Amino acid sequence: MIIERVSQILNTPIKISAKKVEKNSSNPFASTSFKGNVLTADVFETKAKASMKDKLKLSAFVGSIGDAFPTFRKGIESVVAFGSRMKEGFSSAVNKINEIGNMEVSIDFAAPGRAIKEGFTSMIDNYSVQKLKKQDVTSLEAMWKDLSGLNIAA
Amino acid sequence: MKDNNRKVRNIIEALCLHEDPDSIRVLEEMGTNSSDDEVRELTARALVRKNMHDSLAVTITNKGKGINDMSTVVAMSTINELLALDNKEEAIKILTDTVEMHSDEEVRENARSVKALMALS
Repeated sequence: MIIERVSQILNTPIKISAKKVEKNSSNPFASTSFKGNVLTADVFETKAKASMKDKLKLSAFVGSIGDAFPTFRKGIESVVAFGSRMKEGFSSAVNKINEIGNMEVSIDFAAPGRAIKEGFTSMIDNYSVQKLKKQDVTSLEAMWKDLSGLNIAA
Repeated sequence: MKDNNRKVRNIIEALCLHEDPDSIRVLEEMGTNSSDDEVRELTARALVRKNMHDSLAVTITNKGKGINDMSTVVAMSTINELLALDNKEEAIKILTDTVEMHSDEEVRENARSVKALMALS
């Protein structure tokens, strides 16, 4: 039953003779091992109503699947290779950044926010230095006198 | 009150950056004669940073202003600002003239001390 479903998923006919496996295996654990690939029968939980014999057969099947289907194996390898390349690329990029700057690289997400806030404050504040220095000296003197008058009153 | 102080500080800074020479007059009249130590300190530093003959002369040759201020904080801040100048040529020239020609003994002594510090820096 399970073998049929796996066969459907892989779209490949799978022919496994239970009798043949039994005949060739005097040691029951031998069927779980195929060229060093071992999967324990525990991966098949009790939901599947498979006998212990079926579990062992499927363990052997999954363990050997990489060798049985070269295309599938290549796919697995390419995924692993892609992961390795990504890892290596990321590591080398970090190393190069550190080598170039000889310092820690960080992105300050707060700085743009502060700049926007300061720009906005400066825009609405008539007493910002940027705005004041564009005014003539007489105006600045008058403003200072007004503020000094307020200070005295306070 | 706090906001007024901020506004005054910004006005002093704006006058410091202003290219109009009349800004020196406003800083001297309004700032160096203030009863507020902080305003006098900010004004003296602004005048030094302008690094012009007239602005430096206010802080070096006038008794009770700049390096001759009664407040130690104001005097020391002014001296620090003088020491931090990139181009000290004009400041040293005024200090030399003050040491040689000023009528007040205390002003001459202060100028001599600051000149010695500037020579070392």
